[in-house]
Amino acid sequence: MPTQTHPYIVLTDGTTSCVFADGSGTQSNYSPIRGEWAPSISSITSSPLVGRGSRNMTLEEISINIYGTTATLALGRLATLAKLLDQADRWARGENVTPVLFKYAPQGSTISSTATPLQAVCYGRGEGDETSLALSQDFNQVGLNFQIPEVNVVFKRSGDWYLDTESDDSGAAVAINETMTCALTAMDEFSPSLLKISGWNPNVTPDTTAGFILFIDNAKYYRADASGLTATGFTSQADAAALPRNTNVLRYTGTVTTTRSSAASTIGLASGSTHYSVYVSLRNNHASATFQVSATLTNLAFTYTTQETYIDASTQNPRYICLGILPAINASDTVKLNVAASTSAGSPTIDFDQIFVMGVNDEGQRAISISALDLDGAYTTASTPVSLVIDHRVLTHRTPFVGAEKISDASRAPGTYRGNGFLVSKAASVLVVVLMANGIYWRFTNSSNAVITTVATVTRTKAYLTPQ
Amino acid sequence: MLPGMQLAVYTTPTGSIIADWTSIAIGVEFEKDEHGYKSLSAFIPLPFAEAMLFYNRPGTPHLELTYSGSCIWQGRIEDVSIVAGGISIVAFGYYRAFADQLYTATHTAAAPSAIIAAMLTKAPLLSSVTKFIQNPGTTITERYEDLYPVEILERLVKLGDDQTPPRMWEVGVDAARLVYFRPQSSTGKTWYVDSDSNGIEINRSLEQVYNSVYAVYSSSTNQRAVTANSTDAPSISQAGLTREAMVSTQTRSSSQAGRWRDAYLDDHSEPTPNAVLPFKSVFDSGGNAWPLWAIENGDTIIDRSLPPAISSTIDKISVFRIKSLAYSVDQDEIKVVPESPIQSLEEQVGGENSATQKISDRLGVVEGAVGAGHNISPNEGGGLVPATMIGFFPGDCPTGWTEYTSSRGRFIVGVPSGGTVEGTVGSALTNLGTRTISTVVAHTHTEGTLANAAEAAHTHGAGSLDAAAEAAHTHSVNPPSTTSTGISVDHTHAVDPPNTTSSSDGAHDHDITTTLTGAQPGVGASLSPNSPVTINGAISTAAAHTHTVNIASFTSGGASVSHTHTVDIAAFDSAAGSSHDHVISGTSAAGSSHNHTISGSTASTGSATVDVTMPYLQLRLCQKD
Repeated sequence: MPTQTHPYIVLTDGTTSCVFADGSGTQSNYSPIRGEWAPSISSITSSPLVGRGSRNMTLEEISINIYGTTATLALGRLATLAKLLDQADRWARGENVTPVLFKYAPQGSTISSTATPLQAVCYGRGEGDETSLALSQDFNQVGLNFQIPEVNVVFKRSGDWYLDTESDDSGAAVAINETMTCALTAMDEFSPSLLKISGWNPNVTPDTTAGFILFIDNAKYYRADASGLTATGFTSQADAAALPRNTNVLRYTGTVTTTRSSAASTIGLASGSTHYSVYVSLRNNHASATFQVSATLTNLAFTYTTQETYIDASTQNPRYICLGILPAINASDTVKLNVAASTSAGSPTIDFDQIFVMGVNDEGQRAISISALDLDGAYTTASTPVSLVIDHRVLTHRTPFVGAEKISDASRAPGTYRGNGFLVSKAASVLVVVLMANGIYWRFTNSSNAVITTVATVTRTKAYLTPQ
Repeated sequence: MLPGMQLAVYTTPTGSIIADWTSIAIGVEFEKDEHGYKSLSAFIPLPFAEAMLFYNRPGTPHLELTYSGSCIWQGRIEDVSIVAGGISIVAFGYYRAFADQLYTATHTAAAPSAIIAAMLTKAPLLSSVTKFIQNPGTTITERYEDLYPVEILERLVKLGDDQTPPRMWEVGVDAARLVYFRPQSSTGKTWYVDSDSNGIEINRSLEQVYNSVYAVYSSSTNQRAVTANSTDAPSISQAGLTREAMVSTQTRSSSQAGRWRDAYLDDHSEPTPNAVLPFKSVFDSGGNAWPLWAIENGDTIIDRSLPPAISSTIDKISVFRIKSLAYSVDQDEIKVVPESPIQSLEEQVGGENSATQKISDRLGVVEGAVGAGHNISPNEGGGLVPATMIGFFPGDCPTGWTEYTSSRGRFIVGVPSGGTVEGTVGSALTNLGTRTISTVVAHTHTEGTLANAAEAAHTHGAGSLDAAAEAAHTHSVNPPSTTSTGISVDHTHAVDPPNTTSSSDGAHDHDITTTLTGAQPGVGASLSPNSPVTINGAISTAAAHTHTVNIASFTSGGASVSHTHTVDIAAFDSAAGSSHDHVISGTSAAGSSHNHTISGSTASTGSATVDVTMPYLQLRLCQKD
């Protein structure tokens, strides 16, 4: 990209713009006073919510002179600037107006340009009831000089600068529950990432409890087919008809009510993760007996166990659950399952198909729990397929979108979900895994009762902490 | 540390999403206590129209804070305030569901766990699963009238269990809306912190130290009784003094009084410190850092930066359990309140328990609120018994009470509006006396349907049903048309046709056929063999005549032919019979269970002596002086 020869600074909602610097060096009608502005640098937030990324909003303060060939023109331009800042304020509090973007390409940049500037969302005035615009006492000379000098412009903007987008799909469709990998350019800053997963059959009305969409930026994950973790009370059980990932599942038979543990499986993911989030697919085969399930991490003499999760007898179909979070110690960490049956009468059984461990330590790893029923939503009878979409909408909306998108016309239906939908990533490889059962099947199936195949597409909006 | 929470609101715990507030919520702060999720408050920037819509939204939306598939906090939004720029909301944990409906019931010799399980019907938002409601091994007999279950639960946890000394219990609701009732801190984790020495403040006071304790209780004769002293030698040695305390108990059980005494000593034998222990991170036993929001009420915190304290167990400064906590999501700061006895640990370790509160919490020693069979009510409390109040006692009146003699041998009835207080009717019963009446007003019982006891299935035996005579009548008979089966039998038919004369056919000609050919004399035409020819004039026309035929009788052949006969007798009525009876014998079929309706009136009867004594228990009514 050629070097940007002059600064480009614009406040715009896409229709109305206030050009502080047009990138060509031409004198603008909203001309910053030399030496009176430099972009601010955002701090990292202390809040674990990180609803729009981990950067705090930052305050920009620019002193400009507003020019016109007539006083009327100068006053009109002041009004335009005030309108945009007011609009930014209104958008920030949720009114149905177009967001205002602050666009910038620094002089000398080879990354941003007039055509592709850095962008930040403007949130209007600063804290409290401060005004976004302050005029100097020379304002009344506008009738003489056709100029409004030293106008102080103050507004909040998103902490990160956003550039263009980069996209990649995972290639050939793979059976659901398998890992899908998208290759992108590594970034220094966590960047908003739009995820689409295609391959859903809209003619199927799913019969499923909530599954999980795992978005893994650090490539730290581990999967074990549970059938190999046999131990006292745990056996490998053929279950091919229910379409487990392997032909067998791990069956625990409750001949006692005390807790028994499966064999352990080596995780080996400590490097790069501080904690693990553990997911498991299971099926309570008994109509009345219940179970308590937990996961234990073991490393030499150290053990850490999640809280016990109560598995009721409301369904005898497979379901995915999150067992909790475990710390990461080192590469020899192992994980095992602990199961206690509510009764030994009748020797109730519970089956496990997969154990999935996702390394978590920053905002780049997310688990979105979503109801497949809502995924189809209004498209259950549609003739065209849908994609599952998790869209950060960082430059357009205050909140993300999670739901279904009709491929034919991109119309959307929101779904019910749990988890932070503002996905971010920065790694060269982004992994996506869909953990979702359907009816009697361990994996999501289509109308022919075959496991569906999916493709993931990640579109990353490049983010920068400092102007580039 | 582990960023990426989500704050969202749903129609119900399992319903559809209403809004995702993750990116816009401000000032999010939640609290947890021994009952689980306590409250969560936040400000949500919304335009006024949306704020009004949410304000007017029916129901109690479900609010949930999650991370990576795990629930961090959940509850229902009860309080909504429209403020400048949006709404302020306060959600409360589902333990509040125990404050929705009133509960009235009597439980006799019931375990507290059974009482809690019964009260689940009054909290339909909660799971009906009782698996995590443990049995403390004690039983109580209580009657609850118009109480919220949460009030009853507060009492039940204070009753402790059958252990020595009794353990403190807790009741609450977890993330799956399952109710738990268990010994306090029985599921807690242990965390390690390194407090910032620059901010540490610790002070202690011996004011609340008691290291020799006895309990006062009531003897079987309602006399004052005391237990032996229980002392804590290490405390006496450490404090350099022996400070004695008395625990007043509302019990007649010396063993129970002893348990309360020991619990009081356990709580008061060490100084109660005030401390400020700032810390920024928590670690597990493996040295792994965890986010502050991972701390739960009931967990134990160990401050590694403090030197070993005087106690080898929980010394209440460097090692303590968390009773409740408040976490600010925006600031990533947590304030924890320890279990007793730390009085005030501000900032990261803050609290407000006092020694007085502590013993109350632990033993429920609130006068008038302890004891099997006690009937608690919302108006009760404080232990103050007003003068002239009347109570029942199973023996002599205790000190400060005087027998209410007017009640001797009389039942107690509430005075009607405007009625005479302490008025009496009738004569008092004698000791263990009965009351009889000898006259019952003559009366009848009106007609009704006696359909109570259903008849079992039964049969009726054979007999002569001599019913009313039948009037003269006929019977219509219409035998069906019947075709016999085909049977082959050799037989003959005798045939004797009658002698018959044919009818006259009038005058006519007869054709004559001849074998002659050619021209014949007298014949006008040439003849052809076997051709009829009319001989004109040769044969005169015959006159009208008849022929008599007489076929002799003969017998047909005897061939056997299979054939049937059809018989169809026309319907006819029998002759009218005379009046007659029918005798029916045999056994009827078994009938199903049924009722019999009996009508009529019973005969009027009189009565002899009737004992109308109500079963009763003689207790002494005493009046507070």
